Amino acid sequence: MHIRLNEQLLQLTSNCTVAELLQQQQLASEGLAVAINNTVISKRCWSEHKLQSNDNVQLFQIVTGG
Amino acid sequence: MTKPTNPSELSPQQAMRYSRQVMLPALDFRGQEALLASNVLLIGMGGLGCAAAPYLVASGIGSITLVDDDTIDHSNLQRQILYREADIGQSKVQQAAASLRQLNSEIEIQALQQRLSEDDLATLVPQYSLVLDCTDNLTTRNAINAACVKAKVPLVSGAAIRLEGQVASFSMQGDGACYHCFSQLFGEQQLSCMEAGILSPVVGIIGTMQALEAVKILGGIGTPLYGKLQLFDALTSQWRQFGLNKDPNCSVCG
Repeated sequence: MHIRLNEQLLQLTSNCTVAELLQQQQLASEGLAVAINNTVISKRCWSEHKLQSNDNVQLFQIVTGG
Repeated sequence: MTKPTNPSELSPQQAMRYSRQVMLPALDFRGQEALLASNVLLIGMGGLGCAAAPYLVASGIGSITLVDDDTIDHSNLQRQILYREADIGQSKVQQAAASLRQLNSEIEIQALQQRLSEDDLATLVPQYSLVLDCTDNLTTRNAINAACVKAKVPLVSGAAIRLEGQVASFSMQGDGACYHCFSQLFGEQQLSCMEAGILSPVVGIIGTMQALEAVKILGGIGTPLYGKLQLFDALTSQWRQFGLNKDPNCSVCG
């Protein structure tokens, strides 16, 4: 299946979870936040939330400065 | 200035002063009177607070309390625009309050030069109509959020670093997400502006967005960023908006 990851098409072999995607892509980093189809996915749900075909995954950093 | 007999009604002088806002059908006299009846707790008088506070004070909120324990450093002047070269070494909240009183002498401005403990927040927050989080670290942000959830006081959260910023508002009426629904499991190793840098106007944009959100919520106009996280990328000048859902298992609001 295909998903979009930060506006790039990406082919996945299976319905992996958000956590597995980040691990596969070696993207897991402190402060990384994930939105799927324009909704933030709580970090607590990354290991359960399965990606669906055509999901639009956008990664961003949590910002706490002021 | 003569005070009107009904304190919630605008005096003729106030109607003149705020005429450019009152003429907006969305706000009208009703909205301006609601602003004048409000009191705001603004925590953090760095770059975000220095941008948000003048617009809140100029637009005619009723009273504001500024909180920050810090003093003004030479390196703050690049983005903390309420402070002057002669203010270096002085208290941020005292200098900000003095500057803001010159902008609008009708507004009650209180300065608290301290770092609020969780107990302080629990006592203070319920006394306000709205809280602006303009702080610079996750621990404080989570503590402010918890106090706002408990007191059901709306929270406008802003953050900025490097070339990016984030804004979100939380109604705290039990129906939507709280800041912790988003921030849980994130660690405190986020870099501060001191370590990572910040482009001056970026904090201004995010701080003034916070002021706009506060004026909308207090004046009862439009649709605040409840349940939304707004991201600003200064490199491309693009905004993105993501939905923030309530986490039913959130340890703070769930």
